[in-house]
Amino acid sequence: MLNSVSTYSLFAAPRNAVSDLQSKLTQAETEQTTGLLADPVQSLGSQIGLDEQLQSQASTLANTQSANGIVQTSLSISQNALSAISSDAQSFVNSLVTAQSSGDVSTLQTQAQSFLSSFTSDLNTASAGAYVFGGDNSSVAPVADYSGAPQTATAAAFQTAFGFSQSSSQASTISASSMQSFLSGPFASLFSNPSWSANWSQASGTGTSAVISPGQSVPSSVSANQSTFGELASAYTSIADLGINNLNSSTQQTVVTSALARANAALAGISGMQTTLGISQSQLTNANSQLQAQSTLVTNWASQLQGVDPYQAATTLTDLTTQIETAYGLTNQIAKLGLVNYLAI
Amino acid sequence: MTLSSALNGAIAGLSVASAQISVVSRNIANQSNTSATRKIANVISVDGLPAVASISRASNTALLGSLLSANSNQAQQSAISNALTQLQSTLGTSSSDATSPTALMGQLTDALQNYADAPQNTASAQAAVTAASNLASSLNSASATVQNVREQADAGIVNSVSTINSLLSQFGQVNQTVVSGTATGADVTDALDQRDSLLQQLSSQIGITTVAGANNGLEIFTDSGVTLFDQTASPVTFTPVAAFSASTQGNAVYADGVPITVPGSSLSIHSGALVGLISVRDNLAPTYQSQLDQIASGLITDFQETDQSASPSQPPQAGLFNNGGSLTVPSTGVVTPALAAAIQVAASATSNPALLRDGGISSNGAAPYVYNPVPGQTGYSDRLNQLIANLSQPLAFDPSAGAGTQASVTDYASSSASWLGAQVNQASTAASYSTAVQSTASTALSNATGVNLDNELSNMLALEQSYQASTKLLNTVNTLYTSLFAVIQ
Repeated sequence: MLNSVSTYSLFAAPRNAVSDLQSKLTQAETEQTTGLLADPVQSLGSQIGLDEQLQSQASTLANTQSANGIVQTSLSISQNALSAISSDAQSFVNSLVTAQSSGDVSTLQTQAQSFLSSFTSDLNTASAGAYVFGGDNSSVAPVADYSGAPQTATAAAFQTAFGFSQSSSQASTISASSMQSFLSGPFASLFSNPSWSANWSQASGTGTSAVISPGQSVPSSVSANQSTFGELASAYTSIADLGINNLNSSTQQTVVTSALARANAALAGISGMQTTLGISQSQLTNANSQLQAQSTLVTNWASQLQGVDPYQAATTLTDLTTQIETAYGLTNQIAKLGLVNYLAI
Repeated sequence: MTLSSALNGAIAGLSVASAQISVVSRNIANQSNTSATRKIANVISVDGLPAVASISRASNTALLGSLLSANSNQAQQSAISNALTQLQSTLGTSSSDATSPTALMGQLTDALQNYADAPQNTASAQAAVTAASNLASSLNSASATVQNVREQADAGIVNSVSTINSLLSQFGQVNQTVVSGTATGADVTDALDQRDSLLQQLSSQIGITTVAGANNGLEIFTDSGVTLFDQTASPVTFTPVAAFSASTQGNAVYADGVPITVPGSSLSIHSGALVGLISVRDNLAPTYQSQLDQIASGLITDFQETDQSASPSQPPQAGLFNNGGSLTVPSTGVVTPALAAAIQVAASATSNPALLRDGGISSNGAAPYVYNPVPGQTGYSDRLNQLIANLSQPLAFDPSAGAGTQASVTDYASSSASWLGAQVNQASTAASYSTAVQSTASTALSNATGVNLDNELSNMLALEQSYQASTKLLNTVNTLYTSLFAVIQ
């Protein structure tokens, strides 16, 4: 049969092809320049949800790593403060040992007072507006200065136990055994709850924890309420504020021995806290490298979905350009191709 | 045979040739008119002499029929595809701008995480509440977009119905011309062309079938068999809805007094722009709206606050997110209509962001909805960590919304995006397929019935030759007569 073509469709064919090719060309141009799909929703279809989730996951992973930086900083600051407290306590222990063997306690009181003051300032260390030893109550300095409520409490306890003040001349009459029972009784109870919270500490709870990766929570601080700190405070206070210089020498030795025992116990406790926080620090480092690895995987996956092979994009662009040029050439050829051009009218 | 009969023959040749040339010139003039067909002069022999008996046109009913149905499909798919392109904007147009609910939920999680790691930090609290507001307003605007799409579809239906009515009334006039012209034997080819063109326009709006009647008359039915035109046009009616919300139902379109757009009814039309618009208004957009409503419901549930007293007796209350200020927590697993349009961040959280950490957003800091054992203690982060964990806890979702039944709210948001992506992808494939089919059908019809300039020109050459031959003949007869008369003198 004879196939006929209408002149209209003859001219329309290359014209329709050009408009279709041009719309593809704009897409290819975008893909070539951005390296990403021009229309991700249409191209990915049902995978767009996965793509969005991967992108949001990648940003959450990056954010968790940076948020872990905050935890890391506060852990380091806690560790520094604990080291300072521990090294002070160690020097104090050394002095006590010397005093115990030499029997000379004259310099101890001043030392203890200065250790006590640096102890309270170490416990009041803050990081980014939060007191690291404050537990949940991080906006208030956890430990009061000794000269306030703690001093009054010590004085009152002493007065109650012996009937006179630390500075009284009668202090020398206190026997070693009655001092011993004071130290392990009314005095010790000043440094454990409820007296500790009433007079010394504003901290809340026993420490905070932080979530460092989904489902993984680590201790991120210790609170000033830990009994170790009470123990150390009692060791310092017993030397600093029981009027040790007024006591008779055997009673002095009782006080020194008791302080030494408490300080040593506190040292062990502090090293335990350092270990706990150290474990948190190493867990945090591990978590971060795990998050980093996960983030790389997720980002790769997302870019596999969204990304366009630059070589392929360039080839598509060249292809389309060639096709459009061919269509233009064709339009021109068809325009020349008419019987009317050959008729000598 | 006589000289005068030769003269008659030459004259008949001239008149036939000029009549045919006039048809050729008519064809050439209409060459670029897509609705005009190729006209043919039907030459018959009367008493041995040629005469143009009638003008007919090239036509192909089968090809026209397939073009009509291709038109209907194409218009339907493009209506759906256009609407989906608008819905797609709720997901963000490119990967760089993160405006989709999934992305904003990720940002909220990040902000909560930052706040949990520095719970004393008011700037972090503020950032978390801002992220929550962004999420709420993105759901509000997505919901507005969906309802806007429905409103536009409704307006599109109004336009479509008035176009159909106007086309049907024009069709009535043209059809009358054809019927009366055919009865009297007039040239009705132009009217037929015009009628075909009206049918093509009509088929874009609504799927149609035609039945031929007496004297070239046509009757039009919808593709479901409802009469649109039989002697006279049946009115197509539609009542638009003034404003759309998630719970608004659109009205049906009626033709010849019966509803033709009720899903499942045997009288429902199958194709045409009307079907596309109806399916956007009553099916696609409402489903997406339900998914947005479910996302909003999931968020309110995840952030709800429960009675924290030792022996809880109070019901849970909506916390950071609430339904337009109401403290009621929507029930899970059932769509609450228009929730996405009404979801907002509680005013108490905006004015006091620290309530996010301490709890008590719903009660403005009053027991028993406060989580922080000592309110105001700034190191408390348990509630924040709990909220972050809640966002990945599975919840029950309404199966009718079509994006899953058991998922965390973030997963649900991403499967809703996937649902929309699949629809967009499917619609765009269907639209380009139906466009290709329509273009093929249109080319086939144009090839079968359209004008080829070269054909016409070569016809004209032949006619020119025949005309010249006839004049030569006249001249010869004239010379013969002259010689004859000279002999007589």
